[in-house]
Amino acid sequence: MSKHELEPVIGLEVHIELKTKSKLFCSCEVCFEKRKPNTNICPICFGMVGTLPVMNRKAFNFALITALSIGCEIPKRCKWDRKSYFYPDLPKGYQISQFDEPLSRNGYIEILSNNKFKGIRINRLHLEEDAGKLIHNKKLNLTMVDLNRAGIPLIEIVTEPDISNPEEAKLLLKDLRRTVRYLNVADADMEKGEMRCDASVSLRPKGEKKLYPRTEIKNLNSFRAVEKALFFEIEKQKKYWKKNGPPSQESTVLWDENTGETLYMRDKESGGDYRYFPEPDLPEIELEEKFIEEMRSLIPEMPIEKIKKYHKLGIADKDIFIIVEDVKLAQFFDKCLEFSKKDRIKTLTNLFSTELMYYLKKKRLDEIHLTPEDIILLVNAIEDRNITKIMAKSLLKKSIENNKDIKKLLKQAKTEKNEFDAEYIVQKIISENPKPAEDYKSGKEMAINVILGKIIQETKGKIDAKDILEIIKKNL
Amino acid sequence: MNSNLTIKDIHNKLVQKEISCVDLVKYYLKRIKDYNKKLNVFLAVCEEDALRQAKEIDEKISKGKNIGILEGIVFSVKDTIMTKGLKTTAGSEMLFNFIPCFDATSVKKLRNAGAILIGKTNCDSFGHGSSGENSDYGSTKNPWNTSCVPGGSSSGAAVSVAMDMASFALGEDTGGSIRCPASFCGVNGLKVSYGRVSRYGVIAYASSFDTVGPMAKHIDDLAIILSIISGKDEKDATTVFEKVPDYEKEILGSIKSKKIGIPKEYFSSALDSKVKEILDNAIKKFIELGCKIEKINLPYTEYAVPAYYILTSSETSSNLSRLDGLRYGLSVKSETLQEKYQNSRAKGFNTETKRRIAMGTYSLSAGYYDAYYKKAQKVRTLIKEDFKKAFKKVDYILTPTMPFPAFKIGKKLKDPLSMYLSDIFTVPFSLAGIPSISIPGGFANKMPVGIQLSAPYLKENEILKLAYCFEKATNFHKYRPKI
Repeated sequence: MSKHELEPVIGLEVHIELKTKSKLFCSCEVCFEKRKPNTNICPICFGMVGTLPVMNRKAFNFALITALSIGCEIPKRCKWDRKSYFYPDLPKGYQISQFDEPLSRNGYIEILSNNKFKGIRINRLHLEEDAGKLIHNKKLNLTMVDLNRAGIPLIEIVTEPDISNPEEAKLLLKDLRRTVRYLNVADADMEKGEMRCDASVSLRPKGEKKLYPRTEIKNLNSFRAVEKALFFEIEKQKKYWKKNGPPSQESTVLWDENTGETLYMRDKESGGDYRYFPEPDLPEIELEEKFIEEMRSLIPEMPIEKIKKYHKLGIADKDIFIIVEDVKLAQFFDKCLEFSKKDRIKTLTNLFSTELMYYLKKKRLDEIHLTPEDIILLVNAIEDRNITKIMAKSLLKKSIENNKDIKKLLKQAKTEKNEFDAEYIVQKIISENPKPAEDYKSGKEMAINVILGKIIQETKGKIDAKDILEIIKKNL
Repeated sequence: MNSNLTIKDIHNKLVQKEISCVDLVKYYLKRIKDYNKKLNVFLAVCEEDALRQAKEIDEKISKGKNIGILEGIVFSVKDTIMTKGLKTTAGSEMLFNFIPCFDATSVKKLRNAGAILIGKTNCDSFGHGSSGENSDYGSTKNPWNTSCVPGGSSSGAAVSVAMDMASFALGEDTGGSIRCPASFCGVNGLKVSYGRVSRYGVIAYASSFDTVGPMAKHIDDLAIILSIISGKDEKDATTVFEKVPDYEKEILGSIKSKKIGIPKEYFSSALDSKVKEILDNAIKKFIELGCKIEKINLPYTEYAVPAYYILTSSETSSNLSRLDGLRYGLSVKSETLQEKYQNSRAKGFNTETKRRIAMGTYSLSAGYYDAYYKKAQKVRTLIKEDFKKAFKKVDYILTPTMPFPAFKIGKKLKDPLSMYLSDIFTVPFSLAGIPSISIPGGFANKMPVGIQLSAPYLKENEILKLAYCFEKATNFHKYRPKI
């Protein structure tokens, strides 16, 4: 029994399918839409004898730029290896992957968790081919093979065990997804299987540096599943530690989404020997420094840089994540920031994350005919008290839903506000104070000052008394 | 028809209408019909297609149109090389019903040049063998003595040429599979530099060794064929960009004062005394032809065979894993997936193939990889260095092709080690990826004996030039087996 508090140690192995035009080693189309099984295959990805792989340079470059964007070191030389095992979804009996000389190593990803930045080291990023899919038909008691997916370029990213809790694991995955989306090399939709994750977790007494045998969790198909499965496994391991102390060997478990539990699959020793050896059909890849730098120069501003920028501006985490999630939206927001006065950024972000996001859930940014300039006009109108926030909301609605010019709407609103507001407040105060109103009507002229006083009090002196007097008289 | 005609001779006869292409094809078909039963050379013959193609060429000639040098020339293809629509078994039961949906690049190039494919030739299954006895369809017989092996693994290819069942053959050489049967059957067989000819469509034995090459009765035939089949193939990433020389022109050059190296490691006690005599005569002939002979050392030769068998077994164990009974080829109906794998592979692969898969799987396994595969790779590098150093001193290397002439069928079948050791003179060149050729060098007890010439990487033109000079000065290539 451990006297100390136990802390989780988590590492992730993430696979992301790249959206190149063609597969990694043949000219079959890369297609993420559902297709009839085995209609998007050729002799090469079907594993026909006599065929040879030829590397898709574009896929390599996609992997390379991703590696560069997460700060990986790129060796001058890398090679391909065969990873052997028999399985029906693996037509050649081996997967072409990268073993001891991957295209990149030693990267670094930062996540924003609980208002703090935390770095997570990346062990490696390498490129490999995806396998096919098995389709189980329980009715017919049949398992069928669909090789449409076989050969799609896949990057594997392995983190160091630097993740401390399930929340961080989820944040890291989201960060990775944003990264590949910003680079436009992948969509990484977990639900569609374009991004897949295995999570390794172990516990250790707080303060210790040593790593204990870990459990690898497979079949994590959503961000929620990653979080839930890790929570479950951590609790399970805590119980185990309390009863037995640290586990003696590594194991692999399967996450069951339906039961919300992890199921034991195998211990690590029986996991198989992949008999890696250099792929003789593919030449080694040599990279020139100049080319690497050329690729590096193509990297746009990455989400983490934007996150840091927004964080510095004092924007709340929740809002930052909303804005940064969509690269076009973030670019739009950056333009707004550029045009905005410093002290009005809070109003800007509020408008953005509460009001505009509401519409962006229904419509794409390019379907909404608003420019960053329009947004700034609205922000300034609010700040200059020409319109209220409530009015800004309805203005946005009118502009987006009816495709109306924001400038015209604003001009209209400005005059409306002045009349509407004053009239409204006067009527409200009169109805709340029937006594002085009656007094005034019955001839006591001084009674109007009571009402005026109340209004000034209510509007904190921001309404012109002379104008208001006229309105009061009109209403009495 | 004279069975010693060159491709050029036949071409001229076609052009001058001395012979029709249909008659030419019929001649080879008859040869196949007459001798195939006895010698077991062809696993598939495409009579109809060949005759139809011949007819088209005859029409072209009768219309006075020009024809290319290979148009109407008949060739055979080793059964490890894929031919569209024509059964390709690689000599294995595993692929007993396999009909490829595409042509190997080398076959496609020959077909595009108008050559007529007549059939597929027998071989050791997946190229696994040095005698021809490991074919699941029975051993091909040596036409010089039918109780002897023809050599392997391109056994049918060599015999198809020796017996004039085709004008030339396309073979495949991994560690001697073209040169060994060429030596045993008395024909020319060229193993090209690795990467010179596309491997696309070759049922892989060992990917980093496999080469497709021509076999023929005449050196100028080889030059013509090599010009067609060589070159970069975008479907094979291991082919090289280097320009393909005009081999036909290059072979006409002089070999005066060229230096030929004789490695002392190739003259051990393993070498048959008659073969040594033939080699000595060849050396004399080259001196007569104006060459200079120099003794050289290739100190790592003794490690070549073990390194070769570790590396090729490793690669073949991986290359053959796609034959799992699930998608094509032999499939044994079974209850579970595991049983399906086991039953299909147990039935489809023969003993020698299983032996190599087992050796390769072992060599690549965790804990053994460094001691076997990795060490063998180091030996491979050292052997490459051996040759690099040697070629700084000499232009060519001359060695025997095989330590002995063709042996009796069955003699080495129960002793795989002595079978492997018979490859001792061919595998070093395969490890180094450099070109080498076996040409008829003489006869020992009425059996043909080949001599092996080699040159630096991509210097096929040099090898062919030297071989052509030797051929013009000798008559060994003119003898034909009589059955």
